[in-house]
Amino acid sequence: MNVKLIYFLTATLLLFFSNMFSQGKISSELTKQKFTLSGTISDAKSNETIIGVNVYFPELKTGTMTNEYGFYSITIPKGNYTVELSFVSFQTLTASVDLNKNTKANFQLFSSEEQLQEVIVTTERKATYIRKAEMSINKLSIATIKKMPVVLGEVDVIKSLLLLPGVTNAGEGASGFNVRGGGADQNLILLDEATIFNSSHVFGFFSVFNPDAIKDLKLYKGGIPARFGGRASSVLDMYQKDGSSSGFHMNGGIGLISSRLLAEGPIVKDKGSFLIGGRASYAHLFLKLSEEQKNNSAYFYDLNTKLSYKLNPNNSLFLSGYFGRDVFSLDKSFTNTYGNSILNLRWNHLYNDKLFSNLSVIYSDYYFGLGLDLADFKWDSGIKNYTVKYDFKNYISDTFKMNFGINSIYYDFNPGTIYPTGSNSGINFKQLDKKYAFEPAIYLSAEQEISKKISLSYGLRYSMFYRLGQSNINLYANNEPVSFNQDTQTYQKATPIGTQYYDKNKVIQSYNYLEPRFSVAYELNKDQSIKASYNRMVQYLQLVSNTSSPTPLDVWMPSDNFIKPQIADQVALGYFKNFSDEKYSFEAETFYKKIQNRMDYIDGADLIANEAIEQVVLNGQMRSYGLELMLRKNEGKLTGWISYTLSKSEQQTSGRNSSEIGINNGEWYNSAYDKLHNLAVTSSYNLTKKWSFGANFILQSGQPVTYPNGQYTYQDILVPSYGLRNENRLPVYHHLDLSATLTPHKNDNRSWKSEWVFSIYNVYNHKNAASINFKQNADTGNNEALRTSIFGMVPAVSYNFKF
Amino acid sequence: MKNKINLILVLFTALFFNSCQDVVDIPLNTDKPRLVIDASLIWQKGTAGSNQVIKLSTTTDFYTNTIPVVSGATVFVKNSSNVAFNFTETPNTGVYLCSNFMPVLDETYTLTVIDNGQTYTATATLKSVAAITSVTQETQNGLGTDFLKLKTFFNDPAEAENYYLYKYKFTKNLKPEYSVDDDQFFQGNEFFSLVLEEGTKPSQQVEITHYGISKSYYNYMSILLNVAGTSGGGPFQSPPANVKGNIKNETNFDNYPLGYFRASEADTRNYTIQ
Repeated sequence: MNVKLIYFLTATLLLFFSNMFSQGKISSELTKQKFTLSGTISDAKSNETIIGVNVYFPELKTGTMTNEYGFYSITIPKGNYTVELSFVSFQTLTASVDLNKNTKANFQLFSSEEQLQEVIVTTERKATYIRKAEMSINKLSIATIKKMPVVLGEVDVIKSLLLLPGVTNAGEGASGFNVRGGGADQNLILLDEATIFNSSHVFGFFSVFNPDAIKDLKLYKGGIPARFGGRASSVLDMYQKDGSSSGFHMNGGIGLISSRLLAEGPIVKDKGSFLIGGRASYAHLFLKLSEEQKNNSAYFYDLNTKLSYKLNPNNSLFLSGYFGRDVFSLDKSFTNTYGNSILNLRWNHLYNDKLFSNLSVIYSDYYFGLGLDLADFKWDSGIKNYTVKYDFKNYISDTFKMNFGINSIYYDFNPGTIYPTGSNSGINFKQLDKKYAFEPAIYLSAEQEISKKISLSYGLRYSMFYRLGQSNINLYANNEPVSFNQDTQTYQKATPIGTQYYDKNKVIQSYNYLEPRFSVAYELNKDQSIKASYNRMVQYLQLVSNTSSPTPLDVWMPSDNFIKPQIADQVALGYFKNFSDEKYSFEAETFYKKIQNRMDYIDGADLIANEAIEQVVLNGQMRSYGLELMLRKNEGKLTGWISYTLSKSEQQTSGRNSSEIGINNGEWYNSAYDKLHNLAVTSSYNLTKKWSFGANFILQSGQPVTYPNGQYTYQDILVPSYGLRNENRLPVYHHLDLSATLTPHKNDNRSWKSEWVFSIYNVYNHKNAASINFKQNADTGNNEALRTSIFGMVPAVSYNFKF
Repeated sequence: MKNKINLILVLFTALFFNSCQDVVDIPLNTDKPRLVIDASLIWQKGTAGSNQVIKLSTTTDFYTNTIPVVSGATVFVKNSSNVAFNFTETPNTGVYLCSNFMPVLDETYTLTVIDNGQTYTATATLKSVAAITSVTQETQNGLGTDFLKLKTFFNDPAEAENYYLYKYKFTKNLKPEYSVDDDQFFQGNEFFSLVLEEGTKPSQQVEITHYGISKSYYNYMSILLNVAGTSGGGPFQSPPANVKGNIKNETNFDNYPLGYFRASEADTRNYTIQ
């Protein structure tokens, strides 16, 4: 199909919708009964807008929430009302509103932290939302994350997700996370609406997100709204802070691994603000302490910046940037640099008090570079992408809200450029074929309360994908890039019989899918509800990786004529209950997810610098299902939750015809992300104003692995022999972590506030296996099982301050 | 070149993770024994190549120290003109020798092994190799400890796809070190094989051998070397799998043997560490 035509149609459609909804406003005015209350809600101290504030009218038993930009709008009958504004770690604000015309009202909330010194804390809204037709969503406030004990005292946004039901990872030092038995590549990670391709520093030890710069995060595990697309399993939606427009502030911290410093302040008082935050590790200092390591270094840094400017009440501009790098160097003979950068310009515009819009123009880039002086070459690879998004939210009435928009991404993949270094290098310059793709989508969705008992959320996303030239595409006999050797019953790379050249922007392959999304909530009573959801997600990008967790060396590639997009269908059913006056909440969800076109690697597939991935992969499928339980205590000195997940994640790759055996004999086998049991407990205890404590405990089934079932020798090499894939498991994984936070009394009367965080990771020093290797001991000649464990007991201290 | 990236990753992971490794007791299941055929016809440059060795053994429990040998089998190789070269066992060793082999470059050979009433066959083409031109020695530091770095140079023939197996046998070590390479990134250039070795001393000997191999043997050895535990563990490890070779069981298809039948020209240098 013609790309331009689609654009034209989309634009027309959007104009049509915008008009339709402004008509809606007129009709509501005609009744003279209803008026719109709208505005933004922000933090009283910094003017920072707050995402997800609950705006509730007790008399009407109705309400709404602020969106990603702190905006809310609700249309209700004329009258005098009390409105309650509540949000985690902020004091609930109660105000009265006399609504006799369309009214703009901006509110400011005081953080409960501020209130600690002045008044008693009233309820913080953490309880489960009973009525809203959204499920399989977890929100974590940065305040909660910062209190959790963490390894080496490095507050880690990604690691905190692992305490949630349905979320696991491959273990310590492994990057990424797995949601409901899905791969780490199936998570869409958004920072200020821009895609982050690699979420880890130091191969997974730390996450790339500076906790001081993050405002809010939300993880969608299912029931994913139509405005998101492009990944099969989950969406992690994060926003950076805007920066204080009321006064200049700084905060920072000194830890064992890295230090952080963040400055924010007004550009124009109450109108414009800036934020600049940096974080850098000094791990290379430790490496340099030992004589033999003195020429090696390993460090990372990142920089978060944001400029916000409110042009007038209806228009705001945001410019945000992120730049992060990891650098490793071994005696100059090996250097490795990688990281993400994003630059994002957004424009919030209110067409009227009911129609909110955001236009984003985003550049995002992932770079991976290797320099091997040892072998006289340099290697660069990466992905650049350019995104334009236009999203609309129409708050039609208190019971009907509509979201729609367009989204398009252009990708430029560089699988590798190889440069010889030095004049004596035996390496030839080589540019592996660059890959280009275009992914446009349009969506329309609605949130509707059809009765006081039933709320719906439904939508449709139409996504398209074009793999574009210029490129040389391999041609194969029978169109099969993998051949099956009947003699040895093994899959092998086929040899191309020719190539076909596609010109710049010529469509090599295109796909399009309709992705329906639906969820419903049925309120049993004010404290209980049941919810159900279905979503289809299509993932057009593939991560080429056959290790259990992604490595920076893994290459992303677009779907093409051989590798098809992954299609995920997920259903979930849940039961939600608040009890003891919302002091506790309980959530139970069960899900079933099926993913078509999950690629699987033939035995011995080589992925590094492989120009023809299609020759080593076969088309398979994946399924996962499970039960998630979570009990939370929302209030009091002791807060926290217990979550337990029982789940299964499997994959299957059958033969392409009856004469082939498929992978693993065509049988279903455990995927690398299969964790039968997953128990997580996290709690924090505020003993006094001075001391608070935190504890985490994680226990999960060992990761599926393949152990040898024999050995033999060949050419004096000892070779372990193996049976079927992933039939064994690493030992059970568990650790207990504790932390104590000291907030000195002298903070009370000064603007400089500080705290000390002491933590012990893995208190009882359990050696969790990251991997088990079977090899011959070079000294004794005996075969043995060698366990690699990453962290034993790790004590840490860090100092945080702000003013 | 890919293997050089791999090599670096292995060293790199070792640097990162070695300190946190310990031996644990993991009970393993053992599959029924399977025949292993180690059949490499090697023609050393400058020799007649008439002496050849084929070894037969089976798989066994992972933790035992003795590999069971297979005695009493019939082993022979035929060339394309149907001339047979018989391999005779040194009694009870599983080692079968031939002393009248006649190697010819690019000739195709067929192997037959008859054992326990089952017949196994495979074919291989004798691949040539570029001569070793020189060996250089440097010290590589900064990987936690000092390494001896040897580069062995050769001139890759232009216009042809070439695959290499490199073998370094240090006299101080029990076992040789292997790596494989293809000329995709150095087509027609002067290039080198590379080894990094710890704990060497001047005047120790190294036997360096380059073999010319086929593309399918290159694939086989890349997988085998990866599986053989040289990968060092850590997060870069890919899932292991049984490595199937090119030998077929004609009698009972499912009871496939392990190992490989190949034919290579080889060039060897004996180098004394300076």
